[in-house]
Amino acid sequence: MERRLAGLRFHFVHSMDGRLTGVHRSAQPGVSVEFSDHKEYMPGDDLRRLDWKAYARLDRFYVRQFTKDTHANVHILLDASHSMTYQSPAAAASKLLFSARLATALSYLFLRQNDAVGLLTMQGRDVRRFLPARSHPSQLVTVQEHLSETLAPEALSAAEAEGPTALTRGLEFLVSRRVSRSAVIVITDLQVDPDGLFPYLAYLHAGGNFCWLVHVIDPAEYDLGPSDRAFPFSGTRIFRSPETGQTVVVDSRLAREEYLGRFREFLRDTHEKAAELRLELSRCNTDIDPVDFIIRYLIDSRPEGE
Amino acid sequence: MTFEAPLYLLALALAALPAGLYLSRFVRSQRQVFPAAVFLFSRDMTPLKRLRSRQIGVAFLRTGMVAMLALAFAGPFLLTQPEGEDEASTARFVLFIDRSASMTSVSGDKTVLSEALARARELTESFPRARFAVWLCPVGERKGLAFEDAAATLDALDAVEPSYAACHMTASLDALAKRLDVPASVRVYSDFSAPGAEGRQLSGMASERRSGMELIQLPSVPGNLTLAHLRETAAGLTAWVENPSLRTGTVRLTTRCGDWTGTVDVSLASALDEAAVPLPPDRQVEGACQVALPDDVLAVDNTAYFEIASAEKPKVLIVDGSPTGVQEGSPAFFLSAAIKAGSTGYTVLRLGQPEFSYARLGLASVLVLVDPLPMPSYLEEGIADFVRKGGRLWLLAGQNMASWGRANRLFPGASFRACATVEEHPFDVEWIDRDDPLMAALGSAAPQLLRGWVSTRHTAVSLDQPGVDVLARFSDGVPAFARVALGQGRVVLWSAVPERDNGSFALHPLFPIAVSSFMADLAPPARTVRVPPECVAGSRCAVAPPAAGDAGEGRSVYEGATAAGTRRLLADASGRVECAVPGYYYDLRADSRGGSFTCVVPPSERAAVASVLPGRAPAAESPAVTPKGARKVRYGTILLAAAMALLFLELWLVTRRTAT
Repeated sequence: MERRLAGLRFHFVHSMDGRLTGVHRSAQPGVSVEFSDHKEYMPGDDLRRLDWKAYARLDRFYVRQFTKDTHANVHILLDASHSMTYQSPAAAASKLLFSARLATALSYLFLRQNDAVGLLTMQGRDVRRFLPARSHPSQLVTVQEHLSETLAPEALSAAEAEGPTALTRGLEFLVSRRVSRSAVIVITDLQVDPDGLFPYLAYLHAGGNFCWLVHVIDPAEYDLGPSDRAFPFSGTRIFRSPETGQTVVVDSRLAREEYLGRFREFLRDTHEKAAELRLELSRCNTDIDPVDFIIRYLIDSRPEGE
Repeated sequence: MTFEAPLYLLALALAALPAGLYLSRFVRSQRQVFPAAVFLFSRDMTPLKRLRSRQIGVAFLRTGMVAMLALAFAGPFLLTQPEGEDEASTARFVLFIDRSASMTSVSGDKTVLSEALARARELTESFPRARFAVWLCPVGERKGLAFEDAAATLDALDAVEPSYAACHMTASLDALAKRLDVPASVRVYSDFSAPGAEGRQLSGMASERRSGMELIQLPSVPGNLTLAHLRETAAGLTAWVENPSLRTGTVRLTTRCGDWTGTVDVSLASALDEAAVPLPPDRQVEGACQVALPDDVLAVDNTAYFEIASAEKPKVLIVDGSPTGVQEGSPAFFLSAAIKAGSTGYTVLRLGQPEFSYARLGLASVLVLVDPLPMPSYLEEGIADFVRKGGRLWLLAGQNMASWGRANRLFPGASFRACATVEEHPFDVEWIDRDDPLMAALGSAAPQLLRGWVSTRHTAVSLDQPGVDVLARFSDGVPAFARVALGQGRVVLWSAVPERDNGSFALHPLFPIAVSSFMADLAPPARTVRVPPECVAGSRCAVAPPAAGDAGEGRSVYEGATAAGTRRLLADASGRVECAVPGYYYDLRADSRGGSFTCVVPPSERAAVASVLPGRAPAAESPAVTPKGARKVRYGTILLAAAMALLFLELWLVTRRTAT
């Protein structure tokens, strides 16, 4: 994983607001070599950036401005609800394990760029674990330890006992910490209150944050690929929602098409909502490599002509 | 509620099929935790509990539908009275009258049966608009259960006669319940007394209350000794006396058979005693034998009647004209032996002609004169008078008869002379009248001629009187056997006498056959067939099949007395058995001939049979069972509609269930 991530760079479209030098464009003009813009001279500006050639041509004083490269604060919000523990036979890992691997890979990628990475896992109604964003290389170990605790069986049992997970409480937590011009990556299966999730993401997006919603889907739930592995059940079964505990008796053969239609409609709704709010929304099945997912995202999000 | 086709009720068992199918298919569904189960929830989908309850509901609906269909096809109906009749007019009573022998006991100045009838009349007059049915125990001529108005009921009560058979009340009540298909109040008028276990059962019945039934116990003196059983045994009529109170001592058992009365002292030492009453040896009883215990010890059905169809034994008086006629080896001896060997139903008395003048001819049925000497005219006239009054005379002409000549009153028109030539002497019968029933037995036994049957004739008979039937002739044309009617009686003549000295006449095998045939013609032997007294109402009554000799002249009569009434079987000469009360299928006990007889029921009598023999009659609806004016209200259509409604409801539920 390290070897494949070694050559990657994750550039945010948004300008970041960091204190340290990094690979991301800063919202503040800086002292780098890359010209950004001209600005009419105002008293107090640094005379060393006065563009004398422009004064000679235009007979007016202009000051040259340069872009500033800074690091980013990346907050990864991991949905560790009980529904994320589901793993179908076709999947290589459960949704939670896949999400943990994805979070680890992203952390590694960002820390290699000198970005600060923080982690917040949601289990139950409250923020269970919060790791503030740090850019020190040892943060990766901390993140891994943090995820190991989250994946511990005791923690999963506790999550099941606590009932539905309120993912919005985690976003509230970030909002309360006045996160701005940062990256907020939410890894979830969107089984918990998706309608309540989008307003918070929109708020964070309005605050200049880069919001990336990663929708993790088990192949048995919906197959994003060309194969048809979704809903592989047969016969009459009692389906129980792990979040709400509700049950329903379903003839799998009769209900499959309707289920797939409803899921497809759900994907379309979330996509339209994300597009409307200008949020980044990515979907992936859990049977793929998380690094492949990151690479594919980077390729898909690459500006045209680059 | 009554059903027209109750066999369809067996289909009710199919009602358990839907429930069974549901239970067999009730497999606990596999539980599946599925995060995206929220997409399976919808308004069309049914939660688990509701689905389970719906499946149970569907199973119930199917069960109900099958049950409704079964009931609908069974055709339930109710008999209702037409509108306009008030409640009093539709009130129905069944008057159950016990008319057994114990009810004939005198209580006060009238019998218990009279008291019962008086109370029944009082009830009938109290409800003039109600309808009544009289049910007798034992069943009498009124065998059906027809509800009639008060006037007709009073007439029916007046016609009730006591019966000397026992009333098996429980069986009779069961028979009544089978025919009673309309609600009715049953009034039982009885003294509830019966011998043995049935008596104890009736006592229990009298003390308990039954719905729809009122028991009116009439006063009766309880007995301490009961005649439990009576049947004929080798020792005679044997009576079993039940002694429940362990009374000790001696009781005199009196038996009356016609004009004969016999007594036997019964020593009571245990709870069940047995006493044998000897029958008179020289005669058989006529009519009903009545066996009774003294009235002071028996008050409950202490009289049992044993029906015996019998006749008095014919008395045969054989008078031999020879001086040695009463000795062994005489013709009279051979005749007597042949008569006794052919049948035990004769009383034979042999006399010499000198003693004959002192005999009372009126006591004899058949007079056999074996080669008589000429008689005084008054004696000859006396014999002729005996014949004219119905007596039978069998004349055997031998050597003595040759001296009678032409003048005789015994066989008018016959003249006797001594055989003159040797050719006339052999007894050689060349022709017999095979068409005559009298000669049938002899003709069948000797299909050719009777040439081996040799004797010596001493008398030649010539017949010139019209009306004489010549039954056989010798080879010279002289009559050998002849018959003539005289007044109410008749005379048969043999032109030979049985002897052993001059031939094989008396010792030939054909001789007893001929004697039996002639005796049967002159006086049929007494023959008795008894019906076992174990016959009870509702059970099969084994009747002895007709024996070889029963098919004689006319018909042999079998009678059986049961609580369901007297049934009579008639067996004719061909062995076919008819039922005087048809419909009851007798299984006649197989005899050596392996005969089996079945009664055939004429359609016109099916209703009567159905009313007499419950459960054994052919399937024909008795008009007496359905009350007049009753209307059938059928519920089959309603049940069918209900079944269809359940079907639609079930289909609706099933189609809703497919959404899940």
